[in-house]
Amino acid sequence: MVVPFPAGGPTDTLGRIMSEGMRPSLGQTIVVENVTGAGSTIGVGRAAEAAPDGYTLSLGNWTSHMGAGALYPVQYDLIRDFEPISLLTFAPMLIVAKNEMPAKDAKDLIAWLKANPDKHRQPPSAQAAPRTYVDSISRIRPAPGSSSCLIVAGRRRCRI
Amino acid sequence: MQDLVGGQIDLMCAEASQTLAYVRSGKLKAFAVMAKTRWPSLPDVPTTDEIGAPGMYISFWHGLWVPKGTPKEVIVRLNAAVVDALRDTTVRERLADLGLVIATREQQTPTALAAFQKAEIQKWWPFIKAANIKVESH
Repeated sequence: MVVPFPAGGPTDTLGRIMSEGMRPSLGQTIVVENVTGAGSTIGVGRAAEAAPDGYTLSLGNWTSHMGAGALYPVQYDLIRDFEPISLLTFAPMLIVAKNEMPAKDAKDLIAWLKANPDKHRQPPSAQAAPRTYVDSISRIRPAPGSSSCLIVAGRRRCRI
Repeated sequence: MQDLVGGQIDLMCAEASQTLAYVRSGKLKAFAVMAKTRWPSLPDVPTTDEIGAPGMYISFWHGLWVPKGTPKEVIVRLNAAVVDALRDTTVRERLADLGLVIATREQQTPTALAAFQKAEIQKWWPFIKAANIKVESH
């Protein structure tokens, strides 16, 4: 089972739970392999090129099997090069901040972001696509009475 | 996530399950859940609708695929193994502990995943591409 994210993360955790859960039915052990890099596209690419014999599974999520396809120059096609097996789980996204963040609630946070448009630092990598979505939808849905937005769209860049 | 907990970055939109332990132990502050309804694992956190950002929802889903050309009977067998696993009490409890919502039995099919994935691509790619992101390598 190719997991295109690091060991210990949410997708890896799900992969380990699923591989254990599928073992009795399959009568064999599934080995989880974390193939990371380039926002998950290296691992997905590895799975796309694997022999289609049922011994390679591609576990993925919103980022790897959807968002990253629009962000990275990939050699595979998410629809044409894969056969789906099943949807597994859903979870919401949360807007979270470090504990030292002075804002006490969402209203405070919006005020802090507007007051510190260049100060805040957002994360790199796997969450870049959802975050970027927040940036873009913020431009579509500006906060009332302001040209600013919920999550300031300041820097539309991500690092890998 | 480690950079956020360590204070190297200020805020992020994170897949909810990976934040849960940190929010519960007070290492991170949760401001909003990006969904129509509150998240049962953190019922005190308001939705984006409630904080004045209506319609700002993202459902962070997981699925399982195999390479194109995998024989049909293998796909059927792997799907059955997924269905069995997602029916297992221990698996269900472990996933629920993480705050994950398990796909319904109707969603646990290759055709349901195919339709869902296509719809997600159609929904999000225009936003992502319009954002004109530059990917930096380090």
